[in-house]
Amino acid sequence: MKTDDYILPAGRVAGVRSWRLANTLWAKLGGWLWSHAMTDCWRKNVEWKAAECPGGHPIPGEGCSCGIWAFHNPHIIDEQFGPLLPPRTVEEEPFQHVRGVIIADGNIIPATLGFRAQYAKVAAIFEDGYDALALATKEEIAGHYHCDIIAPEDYDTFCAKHGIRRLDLE
Amino acid sequence: MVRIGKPKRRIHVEPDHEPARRRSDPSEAPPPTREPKPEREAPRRREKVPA
Repeated sequence: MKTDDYILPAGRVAGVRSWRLANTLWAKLGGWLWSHAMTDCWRKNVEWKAAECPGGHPIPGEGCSCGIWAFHNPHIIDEQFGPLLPPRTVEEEPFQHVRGVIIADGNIIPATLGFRAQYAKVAAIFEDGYDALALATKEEIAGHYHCDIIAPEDYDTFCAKHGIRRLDLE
Repeated sequence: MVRIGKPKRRIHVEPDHEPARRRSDPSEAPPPTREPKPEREAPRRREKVPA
């Protein structure tokens, strides 16, 4: 099921984040997308991810860093993390990073550059032109999460087309 | 840690998906994953062996 196939309830929030790709067979069994520390998996075929916290408070917590984080748009993630750069040579380690769009709901703590959310799903993977150097192609990743593949420049259009809320524009 | 800037006031977007329903309905809560610890067996008393 692609994003085109369902109508999104109004009010869900769009954000941009990055993931690390599964780099072992075991990790791949969970799904292609992992947190950068490889401690948290975005499970394949599980539509909505729920944030967890051992703190026992409502998620995301005010005095905690828990929740699913995202930046408001591709420009901010580029400013914060730098542009996504491929390995210099093919012999180097395969490219392990990917960026994309999430849709979030539940409790959300907005911030100046992004937000932390209680629930999120993968809505799109950004095309970056590095498929040949990466651990997985964008088609393989999108296949795990039943999502679209879009260019970062098309983020505004994507959000407008699907009626997803942009906290940076409010 | 990812820095997303200065926090603003919390908002809520009513979720209507499965993980949210599970979390709000205690009857559908998943069973505890950790098994109870087995009771410790009392140490056996050593039988006195006649010399």
